[in-house]
Amino acid sequence: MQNQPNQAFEELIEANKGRIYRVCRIYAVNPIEPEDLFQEVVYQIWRSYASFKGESAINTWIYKIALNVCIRFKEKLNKRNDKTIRLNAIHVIPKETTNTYDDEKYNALRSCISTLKPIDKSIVVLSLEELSYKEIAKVTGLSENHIAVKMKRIRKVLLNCITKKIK
Amino acid sequence: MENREQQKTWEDIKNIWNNSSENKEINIQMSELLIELKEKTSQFEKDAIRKDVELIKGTMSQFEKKIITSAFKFVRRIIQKFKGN
Repeated sequence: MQNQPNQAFEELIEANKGRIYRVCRIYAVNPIEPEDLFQEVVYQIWRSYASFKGESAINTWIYKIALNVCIRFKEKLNKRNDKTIRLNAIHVIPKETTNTYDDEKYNALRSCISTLKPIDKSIVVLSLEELSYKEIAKVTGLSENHIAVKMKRIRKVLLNCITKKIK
Repeated sequence: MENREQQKTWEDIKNIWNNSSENKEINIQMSELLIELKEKTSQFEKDAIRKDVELIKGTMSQFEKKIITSAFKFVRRIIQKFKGN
Protein backbone atom coordinates (compact mmCIF):
# COMPACT_ATOMS: atom_id res chain seq x y z
CA MET A 1 0.00 0.00 0.00
CA GLN A 2 2.81 2.40 0.99
CA ASN A 3 4.56 1.77 -2.34
CA GLN A 4 1.58 2.72 -4.52
CA PRO A 5 2.33 6.48 -4.74
CA ASN A 6 6.00 5.68 -5.46
CA GLN A 7 5.02 3.18 -8.12
CA ALA A 8 2.57 5.63 -9.65
CA PHE A 9 5.30 8.27 -9.77
CA GLU A 10 7.74 5.83 -11.39
CA GLU A 11 5.17 4.89 -14.02
CA LEU A 12 4.40 8.55 -14.65
CA ILE A 13 8.02 9.45 -15.28
CA GLU A 14 8.68 6.37 -17.41
CA ALA A 15 5.59 7.03 -19.54
CA ASN A 16 6.43 10.70 -20.05
CA LYS A 17 10.22 10.75 -20.26
CA GLY A 18 10.19 11.16 -24.05
CA ARG A 19 7.83 14.13 -23.88
CA ILE A 20 9.82 15.76 -21.10
CA TYR A 21 13.06 15.26 -23.00
CA ARG A 22 11.70 16.83 -26.21
CA VAL A 23 10.67 19.94 -24.31
CA CYS A 24 14.02 20.10 -22.51
CA ARG A 25 15.95 19.66 -25.72
CA ILE A 26 14.32 22.62 -27.46
CA TYR A 27 14.98 24.89 -24.48
CA ALA A 28 18.56 23.77 -23.81
CA VAL A 29 20.92 26.49 -24.92
CA ASN A 30 24.67 26.17 -24.39
CA PRO A 31 25.96 25.75 -21.66
CA ILE A 32 22.68 24.23 -20.48
CA GLU A 33 22.28 20.62 -21.58
CA PRO A 34 18.90 18.91 -22.11
CA GLU A 35 19.92 16.44 -19.41
CA ASP A 36 20.30 19.27 -16.89
CA LEU A 37 16.78 20.48 -17.60
CA PHE A 38 15.44 16.92 -17.60
CA GLN A 39 16.74 16.23 -14.12
CA GLU A 40 15.36 19.49 -12.80
CA VAL A 41 11.93 18.77 -14.33
CA VAL A 42 11.82 15.29 -12.74
CA TYR A 43 12.76 16.82 -9.40
CA GLN A 44 10.03 19.46 -9.63
CA ILE A 45 7.45 16.87 -10.67
CA TRP A 46 8.43 14.87 -7.57
CA ARG A 47 8.08 17.92 -5.35
CA SER A 48 4.64 18.77 -6.73
CA TYR A 49 3.36 15.22 -7.11
CA ALA A 50 1.89 14.85 -3.63
CA SER A 51 -0.16 18.02 -4.06
CA PHE A 52 -1.48 17.15 -7.54
CA LYS A 53 -5.21 16.79 -7.08
CA GLY A 54 -6.21 15.93 -10.63
CA GLU A 55 -7.63 19.37 -11.46
CA SER A 56 -6.07 19.00 -14.89
CA ALA A 57 -5.06 16.04 -17.02
CA ILE A 58 -1.76 14.67 -15.80
CA ASN A 59 0.07 15.29 -19.07
CA THR A 60 -1.07 18.93 -19.11
CA TRP A 61 0.26 19.26 -15.57
CA ILE A 62 3.61 17.72 -16.58
CA TYR A 63 3.97 20.05 -19.56
CA LYS A 64 3.26 23.04 -17.33
CA ILE A 65 6.01 22.03 -14.93
CA ALA A 66 8.44 21.23 -17.76
CA LEU A 67 7.89 24.61 -19.43
CA ASN A 68 8.21 26.52 -16.14
CA VAL A 69 11.46 24.77 -15.33
CA CYS A 70 12.92 25.24 -18.81
CA ILE A 71 11.97 28.89 -19.07
CA ARG A 72 13.28 29.77 -15.59
CA PHE A 73 16.40 27.58 -15.60
CA LYS A 74 18.72 30.26 -16.91
CA GLU A 75 17.63 32.69 -14.17
CA LYS A 76 18.18 29.96 -11.61
CA LEU A 77 21.73 29.34 -12.91
CA ASN A 78 22.54 33.04 -12.64
CA LYS A 79 21.67 33.17 -8.95
CA ARG A 80 24.84 32.55 -6.99
CA ASN A 81 23.27 30.59 -4.16
CA ASP A 82 21.07 28.33 -6.26
CA LYS A 83 22.41 24.91 -7.08
CA THR A 84 21.24 22.77 -9.98
CA ILE A 85 19.92 19.32 -9.30
CA ARG A 86 22.08 16.31 -10.09
CA LEU A 87 20.27 12.95 -10.17
CA ASN A 88 22.68 10.10 -10.72
CA ALA A 89 19.85 7.64 -11.34
CA ILE A 90 19.09 9.30 -14.68
CA HIS A 91 21.34 8.43 -17.62
CA VAL A 92 20.85 10.00 -21.02
CA ILE A 93 22.92 8.08 -23.54
CA PRO A 94 23.35 8.88 -27.24
CA LYS A 95 22.11 6.13 -29.51
CA GLU A 96 24.57 4.79 -32.05
CA THR A 97 22.09 5.05 -34.91
CA THR A 98 22.02 8.88 -34.88
CA ASN A 99 21.52 10.24 -38.36
CA THR A 100 23.45 13.47 -38.96
CA TYR A 101 20.89 14.65 -41.53
CA ASP A 102 18.17 14.33 -38.89
CA ASP A 103 20.34 16.37 -36.53
CA GLU A 104 20.68 19.06 -39.18
CA LYS A 105 16.92 19.19 -39.65
CA TYR A 106 16.38 19.38 -35.90
CA ASN A 107 18.92 22.17 -35.54
CA ALA A 108 17.18 24.05 -38.34
CA LEU A 109 13.84 23.63 -36.56
CA ARG A 110 15.34 24.74 -33.28
CA SER A 111 16.88 27.76 -34.91
CA CYS A 112 13.50 28.73 -36.38
CA ILE A 113 11.67 28.19 -33.08
CA SER A 114 14.26 30.31 -31.26
CA THR A 115 13.18 33.32 -33.33
CA LEU A 116 9.71 33.18 -31.77
CA LYS A 117 8.65 35.17 -28.72
CA PRO A 118 8.75 33.11 -25.49
CA ILE A 119 4.99 32.66 -25.31
CA ASP A 120 4.82 31.64 -28.98
CA LYS A 121 7.63 29.18 -28.40
CA SER A 122 5.66 27.58 -25.57
CA ILE A 123 2.55 27.41 -27.73
CA VAL A 124 4.26 25.78 -30.69
CA VAL A 125 6.08 23.29 -28.45
CA LEU A 126 2.77 22.22 -26.96
CA SER A 127 1.17 22.09 -30.41
CA LEU A 128 3.97 19.89 -31.71
CA GLU A 129 3.32 17.70 -28.68
CA GLU A 130 -0.20 17.34 -30.10
CA LEU A 131 -2.02 19.11 -27.31
CA SER A 132 -5.38 20.54 -28.35
CA TYR A 133 -5.89 24.29 -28.30
CA LYS A 134 -8.03 23.75 -25.19
CA GLU A 135 -5.17 21.98 -23.43
CA ILE A 136 -2.63 24.59 -24.60
CA ALA A 137 -4.94 27.28 -23.22
CA LYS A 138 -4.96 25.52 -19.82
CA VAL A 139 -1.16 25.36 -19.75
CA THR A 140 -0.49 28.90 -20.95
CA GLY A 141 -3.44 30.73 -19.41
CA LEU A 142 -4.44 32.20 -22.77
CA SER A 143 -7.87 31.69 -24.32
CA GLU A 144 -8.46 29.02 -26.95
CA ASN A 145 -9.28 31.68 -29.54
CA HIS A 146 -6.07 33.51 -28.80
CA ILE A 147 -4.11 30.27 -29.18
CA ALA A 148 -5.80 29.60 -32.52
CA VAL A 149 -4.92 33.06 -33.82
CA LYS A 150 -1.33 32.78 -32.62
CA MET A 151 -0.90 29.31 -34.09
CA LYS A 152 -1.96 30.51 -37.51
CA ARG A 153 0.83 33.09 -37.44
CA ILE A 154 3.37 30.78 -35.83
CA ARG A 155 2.82 28.10 -38.46
CA LYS A 156 3.36 30.66 -41.22
CA VAL A 157 6.59 31.90 -39.62
CA LEU A 158 7.93 28.39 -39.07
CA LEU A 159 6.99 27.15 -42.53
CA ASN A 160 8.77 30.10 -44.16
CA CYS A 161 11.80 29.67 -41.98
CA ILE A 162 12.11 25.89 -42.38
CA THR A 163 11.53 26.04 -46.12
CA LYS A 164 14.49 28.42 -46.46
CA LYS A 165 16.74 26.30 -44.28
CA ILE A 166 16.14 22.72 -45.36
CA LYS A 167 14.31 22.65 -48.67
CA MET B 1 -5.28 28.46 -46.19
CA GLU B 2 -2.11 26.40 -46.50
CA ASN B 3 -1.34 24.69 -49.75
CA ARG B 4 -0.49 21.01 -50.03
CA GLU B 5 3.24 21.62 -49.94
CA GLN B 6 2.94 23.71 -46.78
CA GLN B 7 0.86 20.99 -45.17
CA LYS B 8 3.50 18.44 -46.10
CA THR B 9 6.24 20.70 -44.67
CA TRP B 10 4.27 20.97 -41.44
CA GLU B 11 4.07 17.17 -41.31
CA ASP B 12 7.85 17.11 -41.80
CA ILE B 13 8.23 19.54 -38.90
CA LYS B 14 6.12 17.27 -36.71
CA ASN B 15 8.24 14.27 -37.68
CA ILE B 16 11.44 16.16 -36.88
CA TRP B 17 9.93 17.10 -33.54
CA ASN B 18 8.74 13.58 -32.68
CA ASN B 19 12.11 12.11 -33.57
CA SER B 20 13.97 14.64 -31.41
CA SER B 21 13.84 12.34 -28.39
CA GLU B 22 14.84 9.29 -30.42
CA ASN B 23 18.54 10.10 -30.65
CA LYS B 24 19.03 9.45 -26.96
CA GLU B 25 18.26 6.57 -24.66
CA ILE B 26 16.89 7.71 -21.32
CA ASN B 27 17.60 5.13 -18.64
CA ILE B 28 16.18 5.74 -15.23
CA GLN B 29 17.03 3.53 -12.27
CA MET B 30 13.77 4.08 -10.48
CA SER B 31 14.57 2.73 -7.02
CA GLU B 32 17.74 4.82 -6.92
CA LEU B 33 15.84 7.83 -8.28
CA LEU B 34 13.29 7.73 -5.46
CA ILE B 35 16.04 7.56 -2.83
CA GLU B 36 17.84 10.53 -4.43
CA LEU B 37 14.65 12.58 -4.74
CA LYS B 38 13.72 11.95 -1.11
CA GLU B 39 17.22 12.93 0.04
CA LYS B 40 17.22 16.09 -2.08
CA THR B 41 13.76 17.10 -0.88
CA SER B 42 14.90 16.76 2.75
CA GLN B 43 18.03 18.76 1.96
CA PHE B 44 15.94 21.42 0.25
CA GLU B 45 13.73 21.73 3.32
CA LYS B 46 16.80 21.93 5.60
CA ASP B 47 18.39 24.63 3.40
CA ALA B 48 15.13 26.61 3.32
CA ILE B 49 14.85 26.50 7.12
CA ARG B 50 18.51 27.51 7.52
CA LYS B 51 18.04 30.47 5.18
CA ASP B 52 14.96 31.56 7.13
CA VAL B 53 16.81 31.30 10.46
CA GLU B 54 19.74 33.38 9.12
CA LEU B 55 17.32 35.97 7.82
CA ILE B 56 15.57 36.20 11.17
CA LYS B 57 18.90 36.47 13.04
CA GLY B 58 20.12 39.22 10.70
CA THR B 59 16.86 41.09 10.94
CA MET B 60 16.75 40.79 14.73
CA SER B 61 20.27 42.21 15.08
CA GLN B 62 19.35 45.10 12.83
CA PHE B 63 16.18 45.66 14.81
CA GLU B 64 18.02 45.58 18.11
CA LYS B 65 20.65 48.01 16.78
CA LYS B 66 17.94 50.42 15.68
CA ILE B 67 16.25 50.26 19.10
CA ILE B 68 19.54 50.91 20.89
CA THR B 69 20.48 53.76 18.53
CA SER B 70 17.06 55.41 19.04
CA ALA B 71 17.38 55.00 22.80
CA PHE B 72 20.87 56.61 22.76
CA LYS B 73 19.60 59.55 20.71
CA PHE B 74 16.73 60.01 23.14
CA VAL B 75 19.05 59.90 26.16
CA ARG B 76 21.45 62.39 24.49
CA ARG B 77 18.58 64.81 23.80
CA ILE B 78 17.47 64.58 27.44
CA ILE B 79 21.04 65.22 28.65
CA GLN B 80 21.38 68.22 26.30
CA LYS B 81 18.13 69.61 27.67
CA PHE B 82 19.36 69.29 31.27
CA LYS B 83 22.71 70.89 30.33
CA GLY B 84 20.88 73.69 28.60
CA ASN B 85 18.76 74.27 31.73
